[in-house]
Amino acid sequence: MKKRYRHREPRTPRQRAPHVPIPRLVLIILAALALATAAACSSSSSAGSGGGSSGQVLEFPSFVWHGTDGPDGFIYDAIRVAFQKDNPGVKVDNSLIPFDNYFTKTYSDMVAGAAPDIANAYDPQVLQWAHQGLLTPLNPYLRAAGIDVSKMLSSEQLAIVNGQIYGVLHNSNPRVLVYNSDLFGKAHATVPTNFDQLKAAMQALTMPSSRQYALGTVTGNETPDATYLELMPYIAGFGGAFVTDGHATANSPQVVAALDFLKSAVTDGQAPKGQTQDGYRQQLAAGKVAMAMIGAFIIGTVVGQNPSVGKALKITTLPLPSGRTIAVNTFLTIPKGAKHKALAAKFIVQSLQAQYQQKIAGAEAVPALPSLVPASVAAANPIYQTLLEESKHAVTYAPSGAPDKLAQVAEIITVNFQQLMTTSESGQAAAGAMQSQLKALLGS
Amino acid sequence: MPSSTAEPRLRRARPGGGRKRSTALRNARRLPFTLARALVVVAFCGFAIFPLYWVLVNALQTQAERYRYPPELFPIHPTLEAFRSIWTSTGIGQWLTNTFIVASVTAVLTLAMAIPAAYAISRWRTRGTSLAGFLTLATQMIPPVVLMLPLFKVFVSLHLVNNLSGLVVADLFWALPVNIWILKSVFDAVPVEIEDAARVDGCNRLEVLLRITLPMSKSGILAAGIFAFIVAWEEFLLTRILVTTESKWVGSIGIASFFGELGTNWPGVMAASLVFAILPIVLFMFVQRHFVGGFAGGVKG
Amino acid sequence: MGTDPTTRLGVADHDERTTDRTGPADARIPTPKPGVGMRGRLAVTVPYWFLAPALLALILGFGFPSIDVIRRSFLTGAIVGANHWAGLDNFRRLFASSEFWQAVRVTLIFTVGSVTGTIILGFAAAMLMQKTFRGRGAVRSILLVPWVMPLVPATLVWQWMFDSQYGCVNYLLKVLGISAHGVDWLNQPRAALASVLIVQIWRNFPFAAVMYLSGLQTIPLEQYEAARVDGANGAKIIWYITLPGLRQVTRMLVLLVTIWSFGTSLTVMLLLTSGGPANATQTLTLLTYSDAFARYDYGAATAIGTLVLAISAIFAAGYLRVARRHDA
Repeated sequence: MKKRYRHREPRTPRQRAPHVPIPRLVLIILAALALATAAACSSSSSAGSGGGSSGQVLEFPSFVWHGTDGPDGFIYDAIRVAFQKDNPGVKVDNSLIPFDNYFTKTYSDMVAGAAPDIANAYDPQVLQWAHQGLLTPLNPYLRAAGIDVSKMLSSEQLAIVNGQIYGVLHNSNPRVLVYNSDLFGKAHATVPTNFDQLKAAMQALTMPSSRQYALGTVTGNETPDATYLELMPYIAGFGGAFVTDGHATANSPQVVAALDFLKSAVTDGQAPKGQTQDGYRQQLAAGKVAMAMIGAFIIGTVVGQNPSVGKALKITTLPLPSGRTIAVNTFLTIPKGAKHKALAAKFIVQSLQAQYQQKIAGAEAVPALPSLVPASVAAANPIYQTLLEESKHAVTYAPSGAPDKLAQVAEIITVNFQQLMTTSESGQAAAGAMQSQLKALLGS
Repeated sequence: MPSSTAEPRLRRARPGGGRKRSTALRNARRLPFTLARALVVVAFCGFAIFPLYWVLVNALQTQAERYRYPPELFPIHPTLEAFRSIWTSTGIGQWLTNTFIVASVTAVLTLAMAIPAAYAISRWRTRGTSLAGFLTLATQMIPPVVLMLPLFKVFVSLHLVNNLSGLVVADLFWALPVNIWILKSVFDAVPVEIEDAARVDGCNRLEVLLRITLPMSKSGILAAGIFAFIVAWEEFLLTRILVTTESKWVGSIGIASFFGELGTNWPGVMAASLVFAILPIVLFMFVQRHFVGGFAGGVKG
Repeated sequence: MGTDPTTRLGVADHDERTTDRTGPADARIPTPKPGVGMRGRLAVTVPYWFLAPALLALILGFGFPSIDVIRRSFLTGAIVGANHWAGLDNFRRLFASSEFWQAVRVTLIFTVGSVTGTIILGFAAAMLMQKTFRGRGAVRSILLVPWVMPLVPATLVWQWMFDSQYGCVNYLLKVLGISAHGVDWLNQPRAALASVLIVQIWRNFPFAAVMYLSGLQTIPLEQYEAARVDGANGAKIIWYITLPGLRQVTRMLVLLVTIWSFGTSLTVMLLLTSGGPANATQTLTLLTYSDAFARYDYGAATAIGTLVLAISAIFAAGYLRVARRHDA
């Protein structure tokens, strides 16, 4: 093969003395390195934990400081301001961590020895982190503050493992039926109070021509945690459970009925298929979906995104056979590696004060201590009253008797549920597969 | 082998050399420039650029319009609301600045480290350098996800958390191995005779590298630098756990912040994505003239 | 490349190599380079000075964490707290789990698919771009957009485009008369794999095109002219001249794209399908991610990591051996 380079004159190096001045490129590289080092030094000094000489910093970086994503942010901010006033010299580090990142980042931080002082946790996290020994028991702090957890909403029990309290409930969100009253009006449908009425409403509210669906839920690719969470209201509503007291009960008639219900909703076009959690919620906010079995917090979000739909959203109890529902709870926890545990406990105790509990009640959620919410506030918030009532019928969505296995259970359920949604499989077959896999996981 | 600087020279002298060359090629390969060919080119271009266009369309919509069906391929009621809101209510200016700093420093540092290493692997065919080349390759095949946690522990202990230099180091790790391989190919293309001549004249290896090899492989180095820049610009995995405070956010975290706990601001995501995507694309347009020539003759593994 | 740098470097480096094997610090065997003397002994260490910064970085960034990962794969327990020696338990559990084998299957399909697609599309694009035509510069810039566009926004918009109800891909299919009902891109197992492959190929083909384009320029004109004289037509020319000339480019691309479908595939799949439906698009990388961060099963995650590392090391060693043989 002829070498083409021979056709061109190769560049000959210039003649020069053995010791030459440093070429320009090296200077550029050195300058860049110097710049990098300077950037490193300057940003290291301003980063990191621990405050200046003036006081302490309570590290509570979280997604909750996102004031525009629902009312939570404003409540936390009110607590923060009051806390800083009551504890001069203490600053609360309220860095915003995007929700998408939060649990991965917080877990990595706890594992690598850079744990924050307070961490938000949902049911799965508080259970799994507690079982991995990543959280500090709060018993001494709560006792010192005179807090009696037995007076709290029953959801608090979820965070108690072998008598050790690993988290304090911040708010509980029982699942209710959120519906778009405008769409109901246009379709002349009645708001369902029982299962038969629900089926009728679903028929009336499905309008393929205008791409309107009656019911929205997760029907597509979604993470196991979210899929499992969205599925549980239906399962509990039909009176079933995947796991009961540590035993697999996935192929009970109630569970099969729930799965069949969802499957036919998708097949009949009453529920949009292939939806993620965000997807169906967006469609609810856009007025394309008439109903969802979700927490009431969504109303506040939709009002922010799309006021015309937001003001049409109302709630009622789940019109499913068994009258049960589930609640999704958020907890405040103190990681084991936290540097300012006493301060963190103080902050958590502060959040249990009456004024904040009332704020939470006004934000379409149930606080930890409903007893602190006076009747006047309850009367002014009919949604809160419904939620409080529902929370009495709410069960946790963690697998009863095997709470630490929530992640694996969710994985099994999700894989089979996605199979159910995307193939012609029946609810019975899916439930059977779930049952055998759960049995293999749990041992019975 | 054509050196990498010869190629741009040829293209610049298009009237003479270029026409001759393309005529020869045309005759040799007998593929006339037909309408079919033009259509295929258009199809390729459409495939390549449509997603970027769709980001623009989505960014000009409101949240409600997102669910319009049929989807409007041209925005009927474009609104700049999303762009306005991200400039006023988010720190996107800060994100862009941070990302630019991190990406530039990463590119320079990566080149500073990869150039000598690639040169060594290219010019010294010893067991040691072969092993080094192999190890460079091997780093690429362990899933970065698994490395995340132990790596993060290292970062914590070195106080590289929550600052831009930590991000630079992380991006350096990702960009370095492939850069070494790209540069090795580039250096393989530079004729060794010239270097030998220089060494006979009394240059040491470093001088040869800096004064002979680098000028001859400018385009390839530029290409490798751009590659490192892009890697750092869009890095997502380690960045999301390294940075906490908002003043240190880079673009990838900024975009993630639009995904809230309860809902997503989709026009905002798309607007921020467009802004985030435009800069490297524009940067790239400026340098892409040199880019293709950068690998000329040097791709032989 | 016709020249072999190894032989080109000739005698001088042969001596360096000999001394190299006995270790740079070993001054027992002086390097008999004319007029170089002491500099000759130091010269042997030069390649290692050149390699040092990069190697140090790689050892810090990959070496130590990899050793930690390998170590962890033989331990049990969560990532913090007490760990007990588990021997090959993690691996046994892995091989017994159907999810693992599903992930292996998906990884193979995904890797082969993305390598094939990228190379074919990249080659086609390079062939189209070979000739000078008006607007070629602009076209080249446009074709490089997928590679330069940040991956997260790109994947997000592809996810929306693939939406089976509101996405514009199905709409375009309907409008162009190709498919009336559209494809359930993200929610049917085969279609989901296809959509992930489409995004990955979209992302990588520009790089392949660039490499092929410059590789095409290294094929000597004389070969084309000789073939033309022999009366070969377009297709024969491509088969007998172009493709063989690009063999090394192709080899390099196969290597790099395989690497990339292990690494960047995480972002694409995480955002596009989250591994669904029913793990149809869950590759080994994604499985590792969910093991580590969702199920907190660090033993399984590191076991997969170790396995992938072992397999990749074998693959890379094989590639290097082939490459070295072909370099001569």
